[in-house]
Amino acid sequence: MTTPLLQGTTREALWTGPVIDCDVHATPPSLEALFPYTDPVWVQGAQERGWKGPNGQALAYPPNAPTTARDEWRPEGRPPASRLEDLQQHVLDPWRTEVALVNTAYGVDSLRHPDWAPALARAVNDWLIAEWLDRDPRLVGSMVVPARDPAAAAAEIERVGSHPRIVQVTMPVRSERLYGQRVFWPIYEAMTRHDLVMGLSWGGTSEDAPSPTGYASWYAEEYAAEIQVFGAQLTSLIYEGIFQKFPEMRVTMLESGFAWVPTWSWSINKKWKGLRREIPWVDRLPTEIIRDHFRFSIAPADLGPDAHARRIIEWLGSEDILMFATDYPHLHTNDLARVLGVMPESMRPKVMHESARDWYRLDKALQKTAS
Amino acid sequence: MTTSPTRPVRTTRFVVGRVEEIPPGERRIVEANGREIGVFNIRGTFYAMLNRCPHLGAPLCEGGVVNQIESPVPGEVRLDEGQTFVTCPYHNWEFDVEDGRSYWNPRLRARPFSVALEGADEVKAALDRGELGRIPGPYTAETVDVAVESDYIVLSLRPARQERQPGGSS
Repeated sequence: MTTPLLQGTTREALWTGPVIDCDVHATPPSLEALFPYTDPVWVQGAQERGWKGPNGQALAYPPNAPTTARDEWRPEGRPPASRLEDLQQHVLDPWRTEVALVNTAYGVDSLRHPDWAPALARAVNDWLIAEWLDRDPRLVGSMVVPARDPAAAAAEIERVGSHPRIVQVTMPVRSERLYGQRVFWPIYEAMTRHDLVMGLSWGGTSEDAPSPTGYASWYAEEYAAEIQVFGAQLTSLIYEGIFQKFPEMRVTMLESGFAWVPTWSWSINKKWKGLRREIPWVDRLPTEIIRDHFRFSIAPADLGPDAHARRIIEWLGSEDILMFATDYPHLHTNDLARVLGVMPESMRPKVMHESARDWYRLDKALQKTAS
Repeated sequence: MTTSPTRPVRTTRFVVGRVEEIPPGERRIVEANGREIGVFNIRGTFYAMLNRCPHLGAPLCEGGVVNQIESPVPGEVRLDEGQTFVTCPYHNWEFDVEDGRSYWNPRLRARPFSVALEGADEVKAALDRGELGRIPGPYTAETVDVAVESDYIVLSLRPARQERQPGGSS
């Protein structure tokens, strides 16, 4: 069963309450589509060079890879998830989604040009606001930043971070440096000043190989092993003391899966107990920090048999930590009925809408827009 | 004393040795009533702890002696010499020398004992009355020499140290 399509089931059969989808994607259909939002110097720059846009997106999501988009969500003549009407028709309407969080990446971080990358981020954000958020009141957005340049990233957060329906900053999980490092503090200062969540998202461009060590031979290998990069970033953020420096900081892991989180957290707990003198600012168990400062989307959910999955959910040690997502248009074979079925009943409304509503301060975001 | 005077009193206080025998920064592991106990001189103050880590039973008193590192935020670090830990040689968990508490798990405690410094006259009298035991084995305390104007280290196995007061370390 492929639940995101609601094949062989109905929205009501799965869940009768509200739905908040914390991960749907919007992709600029082309660089040209961003020209109305781009400073003319870069429009002409692209035309002069014949440049078609950053290559990062196609590396992270090869256009024809089955995981990049479901067949049912591949429209004729345009890339998947590149038009609001497709999102509405494919997800928002059938799911009667109350709120969806639109994540976009467009591989901004794969452009190393120090002036063009921030300009591209501005164009993507203005496009996201104008063509998605302003056109559908169900949408809130995750802005992009030129993550290689913390000062420029902070400046972009200053520019659009106070938009009432920008609730998150997308940071690609692969980066040239681990995100806990102090060079990124200006980004987190700006994020917390605007009460924005850090959305750690699949993809990105590292300074070296896309794995923590070396190049994978196959896309399948790279795709499967990205969990390691999420683990490395989670460890970095905790051990570097980001949550002591920025106690308001909140991080959502998108497309990371979550089945690995309990055992990974046991490991970093254990290492902290014996090696914590090196990182004395970390003043409590990493598992406690994870429960307070991290959330994970449930797409994908790599669960295994139900009995094991139940145990994993229990090991997470918090009913608040997971949030529903379709990850439109990416292909995951999750069965929502199964995912909800292995959770205690009290956890299900939290996953389907309550946790995201609280985490993203959605009542405030939507109220500000209405008034 | 509730014990009947006709029964031999089980000694709970032991003379470990003269103060100079354990200089600051050093320790001695002694056996008293069949238990191994580490006696530490930390900057002139004596502490004692059961040589057994409450986690997995490792010889705790063979580990390191370190101070707390205060750090409100990353990059700001300050050594707090008012709080000292013994670190377990197995997992490097830290146990406060004052009250035996694990740094990260206040419910987990190593076992501290009281140490007092007593004058030679006092120690000799207590030895004569049979109220004070000597440490057997290779660490047997030398015969108390009242001519030596020195304090003796006396270990008590009975009362544990008072608990550290919250915030009282600085």
